[in-house]
Amino acid sequence: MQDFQGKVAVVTGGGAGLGRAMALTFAAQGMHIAICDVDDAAAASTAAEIRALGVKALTANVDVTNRAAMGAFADRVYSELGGCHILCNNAGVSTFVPAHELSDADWNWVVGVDLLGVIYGLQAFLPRMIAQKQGGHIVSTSSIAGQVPLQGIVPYHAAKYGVVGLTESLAIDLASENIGASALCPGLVKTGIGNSQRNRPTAFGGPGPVDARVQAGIDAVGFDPMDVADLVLQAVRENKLWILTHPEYRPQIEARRDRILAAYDWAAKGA
Amino acid sequence: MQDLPGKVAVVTGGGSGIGRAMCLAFANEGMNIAIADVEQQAADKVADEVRALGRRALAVKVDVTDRAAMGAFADRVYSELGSCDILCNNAGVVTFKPVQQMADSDWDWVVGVDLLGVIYGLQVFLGRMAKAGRGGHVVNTSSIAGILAGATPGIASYTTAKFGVVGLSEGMANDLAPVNIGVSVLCPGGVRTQIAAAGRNRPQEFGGPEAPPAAMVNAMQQTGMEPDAVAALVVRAVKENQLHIMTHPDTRPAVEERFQRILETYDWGLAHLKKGS
Repeated sequence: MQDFQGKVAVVTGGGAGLGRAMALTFAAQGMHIAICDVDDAAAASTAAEIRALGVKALTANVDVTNRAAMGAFADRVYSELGGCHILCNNAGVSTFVPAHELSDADWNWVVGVDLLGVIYGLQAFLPRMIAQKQGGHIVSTSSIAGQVPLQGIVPYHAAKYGVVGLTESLAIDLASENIGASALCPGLVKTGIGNSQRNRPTAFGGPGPVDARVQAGIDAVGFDPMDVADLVLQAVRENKLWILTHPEYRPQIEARRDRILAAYDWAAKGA
Repeated sequence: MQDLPGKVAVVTGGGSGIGRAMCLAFANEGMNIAIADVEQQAADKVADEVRALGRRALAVKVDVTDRAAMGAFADRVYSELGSCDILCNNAGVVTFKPVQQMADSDWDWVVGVDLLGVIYGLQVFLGRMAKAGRGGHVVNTSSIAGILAGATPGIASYTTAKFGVVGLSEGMANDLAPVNIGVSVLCPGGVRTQIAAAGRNRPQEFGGPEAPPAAMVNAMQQTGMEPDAVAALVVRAVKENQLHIMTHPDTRPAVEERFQRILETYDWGLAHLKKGS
């Protein structure tokens, strides 16, 4: 997708972090922006920054785990902004708990937001994007944890690997519609995801204690979200399937490849 | 995990296909078997085969998308067989439709069985396995479609779920090493099973039964690997704590190519970031 001026980008979790950065980056290209977020103040503040760039902004309080609310959000986007050309399924949360100590609510919340939220975004917007026949692009925020295994974030891995697989399938199925797909797979970015428990709904166990240690690590070494968003823009332009930002994980991807390939040899050995 | 005789293996979707083959393979190793399946008759039949091998068997009708039913199943496994040492989250379904034609229920059913079903299995068994303190192993059935997309087009919901299963398995292997629970993720290509006809059991709340795509069903029957051969690899993977079980050598070039594309795209992104800063 090359031509952004006057078109519409939708960003879930657009009030803060990577979502805010993508919203501002696409606004700077002349796009109108619809953001949804569970944090009204954050959404309003980002919308003001968008309008200052001379484009339209729409905000809605939507929990992406609520399919009906996502559908109503899509209705508003189409009636008030007239379309959706770039869909950024971005809203994300995480817990930091070893696999055997996870509560049901930990699983349900993380998989609900990070994977089902992406699926509900597609269900709400994709049929209309196809019907409007103007092409487009779908950016889904995964993580380097959608490419390689780390520690203590098993539900996050389930969701983020799922988002990568989903995106790889979308790219195949939607090529004929001129709709591209990218999975954003960053390492640490200076966002509030370490504090995502602050907005944890009661239905998913309620707000939890902020893990200051995790957030401090993110703040210390995380990338600037605007740098990541700039690469997202470039990936949309060139229709790149994966967006990988942090060089230190490249050897881990090679190690994972080698481990999987060695598994073929392992299977052949016993045959 | 080396010492299987007398221990308990739990297999979801154990009434047919790869699940049935795993039940019989573990029974042949001297294990008692708990089978969950949406088809009671199929589960009962496998239970009879397990008993004919001289082991104990429990067969329960369970839809893995029903979290409460999974909890009740786990209670029965612990009260009737006494433990769970190998957990095989295996039940799986698929639909074949390009994403343009998918209804909400296509997403909900496939992700519900193939990923949430695995998660519910972990929710009801894993905590108890860790507390029991005798180690164990978890086998999650994914697919080559959990490693790469495109081997078969038009299965976006399946690819989503199966990638998710690979991701949670790889993460679990890191987390569970200290409690001595091993993890394997099964990533086969075509196997001679009825999965292409999974729509026969599609519940009403997920859109109701659908006609099987004859061409896919036939292809699985004619070119698929034997489930027994797959199950033999699973047993060896449990004994040797092998994480990925890559059964079909013909899928290897596509895996290499996918990683090559990722690394090339990685380098493209790093070059762009460097230029920008």
